[in-house]
Amino acid sequence: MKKINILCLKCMLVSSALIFTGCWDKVEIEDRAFVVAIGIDKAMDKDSLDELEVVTIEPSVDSLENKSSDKMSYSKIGNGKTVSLALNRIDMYSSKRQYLGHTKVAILGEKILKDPKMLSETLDGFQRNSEISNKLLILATDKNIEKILDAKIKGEPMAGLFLSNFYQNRENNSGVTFKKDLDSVLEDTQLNNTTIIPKVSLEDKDLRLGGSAIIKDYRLLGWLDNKDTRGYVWVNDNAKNTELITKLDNIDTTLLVESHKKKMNFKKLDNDILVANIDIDISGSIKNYALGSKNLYNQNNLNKLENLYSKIVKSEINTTFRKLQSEYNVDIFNFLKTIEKQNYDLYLEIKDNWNYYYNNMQIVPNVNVNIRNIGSVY
Amino acid sequence: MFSYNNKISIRQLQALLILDIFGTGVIVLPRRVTQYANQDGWILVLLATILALILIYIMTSLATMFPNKDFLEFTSIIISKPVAIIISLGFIIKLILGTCLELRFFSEVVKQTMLYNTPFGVVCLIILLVSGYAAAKGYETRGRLAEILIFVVFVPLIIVFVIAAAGVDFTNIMPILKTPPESLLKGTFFTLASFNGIELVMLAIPYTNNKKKIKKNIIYSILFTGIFMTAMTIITICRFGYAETKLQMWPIISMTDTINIPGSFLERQEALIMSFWIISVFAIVNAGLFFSSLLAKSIIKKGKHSYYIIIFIILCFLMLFVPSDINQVYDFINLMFVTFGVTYMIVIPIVLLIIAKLRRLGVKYEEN
Repeated sequence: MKKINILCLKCMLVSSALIFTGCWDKVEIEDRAFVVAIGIDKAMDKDSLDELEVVTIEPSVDSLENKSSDKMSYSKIGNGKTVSLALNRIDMYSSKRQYLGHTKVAILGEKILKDPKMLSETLDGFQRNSEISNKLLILATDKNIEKILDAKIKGEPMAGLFLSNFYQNRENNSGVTFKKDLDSVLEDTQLNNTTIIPKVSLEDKDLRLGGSAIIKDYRLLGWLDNKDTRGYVWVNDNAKNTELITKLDNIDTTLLVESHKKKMNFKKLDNDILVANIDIDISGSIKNYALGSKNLYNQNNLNKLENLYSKIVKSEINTTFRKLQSEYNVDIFNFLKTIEKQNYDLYLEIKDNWNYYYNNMQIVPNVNVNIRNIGSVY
Repeated sequence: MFSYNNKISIRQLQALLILDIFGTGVIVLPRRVTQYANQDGWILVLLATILALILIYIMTSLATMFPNKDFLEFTSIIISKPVAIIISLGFIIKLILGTCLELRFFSEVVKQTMLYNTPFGVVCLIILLVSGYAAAKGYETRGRLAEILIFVVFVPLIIVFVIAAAGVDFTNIMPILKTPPESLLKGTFFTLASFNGIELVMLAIPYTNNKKKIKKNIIYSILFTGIFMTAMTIITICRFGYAETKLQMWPIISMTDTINIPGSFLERQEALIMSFWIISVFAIVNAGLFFSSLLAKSIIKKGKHSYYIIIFIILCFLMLFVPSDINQVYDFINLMFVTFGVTYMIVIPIVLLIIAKLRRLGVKYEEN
């Protein structure tokens, strides 16, 4: 019996030596190409018009090892019918296997945004790929994706990292852009087939964040400019750190938004018109005025300023809503979903004729601005 | 603490029970419940918890009527030995199939999240061998292990979910209770599958000390597990919204991926969470092997229970290769629940308790 036990022990030791040391998933870090950002658009070549063009950006090994290197990053391009095929082709040009587990940003080009089949397949490909994180930031552009990803930004190692760090460090953005990740895009498209994606563009070789793309049924309907995007941010996102500017006694006065709260409620009028009351509370600090002026110590002047800022916000919300309602006919503000959460009976009453109700809908923005601080000047 | 008398304390039993129930099924729980009840999915988990509490009350009532008899012995007293043997054989099949499916399911998750190239057979074999070794060492070893492991599993999970809860949109579970009652009932019934493992109480009670307080304490452990599962489901639905939760293959894993742990240098937390989940799977496989070998030994009445463990490890390992893909694993799990699951979680305890009461069998314990 003792011999059997010893034999069993020996077998276990030998088998564990084989099992535990022969790891199939052993990865040497230098054998992996860590993709920081990925750009996807329709291919430009005449021969591959129905194919996707995928650009990946990975840091150069020299830059990681702090050796002097001209290039901080490399871009690789591959074409294919699907994202995974295009990525496989890129893999064929490299001795290292691409790894998407640390990819921070995906930029979608205008041509793919206009092709519903390709866009839905691409989003599906993102979701199915277990390497790709749900936190992947999604951006849209009307410029060449390769130029965007290859853009040099002063003080930043590479475009992909700049974009990722921008949204990470400035959690509450400047109002003209907002953070949109993969899972949020997927949720929007699942709920009502519409979504809004922040825009990145290139101006004189510099990256610019601002504006957004309106998507409905996986197709780009159009672009919102910075001001319109801010109208969206006031209602649906966090506008902390946004700056508002107006004139008091012909002097430019800037308010930095420090707190932003919003609430919506709905009612249906007798004439079948739906009214959305959007209550927005903003508080912030005055960041600049005229040197030596005592105007800001006067409560009437502060009240006047608060009203002026309130008017600006109302006007931005109204303009954006009108554009979304009449020009694009999309419920980007997610009114229907909010009605479902708040007033289920009303939701059941209107959901089948939502298009009618949305087209005739009125919004009433009630904006309350509170200037909490006028700065450290007396 | 008791030394080498093959008895465990109530605290150890509670830890074992929580670990045995908290299987990989929880990873897909939010998807399953939202498929039945959209944003009301969490209510299904709550209702299933209430149902599980009722069932556990029935099971403990039955087992405490025969405090020092094992499952085969007390079923023999209630409904004759031949029938008891058939029921016990069915129980062995249920335990082995359940263990096998749990392991296969787990290996699929591991393959998708951590070990992309490692054959699932190797992952399963390692877990089977380690679990089998612990099972061979007896109930006390299992109890002591559970006391340590429960903290290893739950502390990181609770930390991650508390952080996750801070950044979710809780309005995503609104409107509440708008699901038709028939969907709620159907969903609750299938959600009960997540409490697979509570039937082990009927096998475990003879090995527990202080049987007077057992019922109350077991109910507490089921309540804890149920509340934890409900909280996880609520947080996941609030994070993704019900529409996206339905689309996620492993919603809980995906949810942990979206969390930014403050000050953490870790990027992909899902692999970390899975590594804690391995312990839970170890506990489940360990329980399956231990109790099936114990039942087999009590039926055959020959040899050590560790010999049966070796046979069941081989059986389990071979059966792992039966489902060809993850969809077949789901089909088998559903089939297992509506057949063996319902029989051993609902039908047999109720029938046995009714017969035992009618025949005025067993010793009546009063809780103090």
